[in-house]
Amino acid sequence: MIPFANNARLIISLITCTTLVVPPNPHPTVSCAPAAHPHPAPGFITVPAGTYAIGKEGSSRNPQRTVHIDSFRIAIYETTNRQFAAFIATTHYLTDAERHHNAMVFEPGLEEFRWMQDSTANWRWPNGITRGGIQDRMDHPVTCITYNDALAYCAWAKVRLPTLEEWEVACRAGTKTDYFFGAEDSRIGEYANIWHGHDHLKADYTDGYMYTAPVGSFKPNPWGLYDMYGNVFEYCTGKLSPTESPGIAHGRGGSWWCSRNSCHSFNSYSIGSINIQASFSNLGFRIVTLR
Amino acid sequence: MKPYFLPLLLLPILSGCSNASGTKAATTADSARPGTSAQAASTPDSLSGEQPKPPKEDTAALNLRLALESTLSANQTNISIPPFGLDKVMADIRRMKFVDDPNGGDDFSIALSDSIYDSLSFDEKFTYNMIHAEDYSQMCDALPEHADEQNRIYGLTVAFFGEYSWSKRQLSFFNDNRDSIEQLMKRVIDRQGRIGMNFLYVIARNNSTDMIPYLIDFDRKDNSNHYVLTTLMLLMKENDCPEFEQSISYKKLYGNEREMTAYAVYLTYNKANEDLIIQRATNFYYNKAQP
Repeated sequence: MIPFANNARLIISLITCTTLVVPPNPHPTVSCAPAAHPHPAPGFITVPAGTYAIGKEGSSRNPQRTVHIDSFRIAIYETTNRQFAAFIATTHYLTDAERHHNAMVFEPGLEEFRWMQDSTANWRWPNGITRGGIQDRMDHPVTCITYNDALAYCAWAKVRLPTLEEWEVACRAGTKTDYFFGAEDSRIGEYANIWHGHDHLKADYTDGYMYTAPVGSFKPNPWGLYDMYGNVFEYCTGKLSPTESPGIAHGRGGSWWCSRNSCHSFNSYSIGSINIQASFSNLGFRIVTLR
Repeated sequence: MKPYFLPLLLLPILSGCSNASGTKAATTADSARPGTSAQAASTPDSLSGEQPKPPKEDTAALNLRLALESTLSANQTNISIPPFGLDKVMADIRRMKFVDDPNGGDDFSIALSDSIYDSLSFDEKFTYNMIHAEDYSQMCDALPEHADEQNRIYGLTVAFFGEYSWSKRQLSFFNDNRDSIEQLMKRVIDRQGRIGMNFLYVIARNNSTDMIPYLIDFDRKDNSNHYVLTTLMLLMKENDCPEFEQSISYKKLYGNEREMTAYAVYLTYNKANEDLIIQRATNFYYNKAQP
């Protein structure tokens, strides 16, 4: 494996803020907002250009390899309901779930890997109206949006989604192990909002949250990025192969639903797949600034 | 996200645990009439001796199947495609525009309307449900991936619908019409000489232990699809078959609580292992049938 070329020279900085702060308050502060944007902007870190080792031995979806990437700035937090609400308020955009009433939601009692369609669910009611809205969860990651919804937000905010490779480089933060905190997942509870139950038949509040948690509620990775594992799968751009269907999008990092006994996607290498028209209550995104 | 092997990864909690004692079985599997009481049987006709080769798929059916497979994703080519009303069903599916519609118009849907669905005959519903999943799902990144399947007997089966899964009404259709579904599956298998992952999944999910003699008979005729053996083991597992649960094979395949680990585990395919699985399944079937 080729060592990271720029480990020693990594510079972490916040755009628009003059000092790097690992915030005790996880909520993005308005004072950091670019003047042109009508919503609070999160902090960002800068990942320098370089050659990075990514992938996993034995994986055909994400084979072990090195990639060269240009410098990019990635959000410290996942995009929140508050930020998405600003987008909606300005554009009156209708998400796919609001148009098609086909969002997939979860409630305890479903067998493993089963979700159910709820015509009332959308980003405002991530698991359907009967399971509560976002009015007191504005600092939670936005969910129940499709890949296209995420792209629409990015177009409005003049940002973009990370590529599959950028996400992994940022997540690994210079590490080569399956987790940025080590080779085993024993400490995952410190870093991620995941599902700790043996199955999904009963609600699990082991870490304080059954569904999403406020962004930044758990420890960050070594570069100061929060919720790279768990909370919500994060949409990325890119394909697993040149011939992959245009109808498939990819998400990374696992989610509040993921458990050790099920999909176990809260790691640095897994790449999930999803139809670009699908809205799930565990799918969200984080942004990368344009050059 | 579910693993991409998912819909077959986790079976529901199935009722109807057998009272199998693990004692040597009665001697017969009446594969032509799988519902026949084992008590009435007395000879091991279907479990030994030369078996006739399955009939060749007729040209028209083969062409239709190949045409259909060309419209399906790679993950769906390992399914059995029923011929009942296939043209009509395919036309209905195409009208839904479910395949890779990146823009998703306002009439976008991946499920037949209730009125159209209800207008289908039973056999057409069978075809529709077997070749089209009308809910979204999430595909996780299971590792290690299944490989060298000709020389391995995996403990769990693989996915076949990609980023889609069967909806509640579809699963209910399979579950509520178990006997009829079994008969239709047999007709298709007999005609096509192959058995797809969708059929194996339904057999396991429906806890169709009545199909055990038929599966054994199929394996005797054509043992190229080792997931038939996997399905036999899953049926024994879900019914707490003592002889199987106390075996080394069981501990190796299902002893780890983590389903993701279980996905990777396999037995080496050889005649001895194949015969052992079939013998245990036979014992289970006949002990189960005893009052």
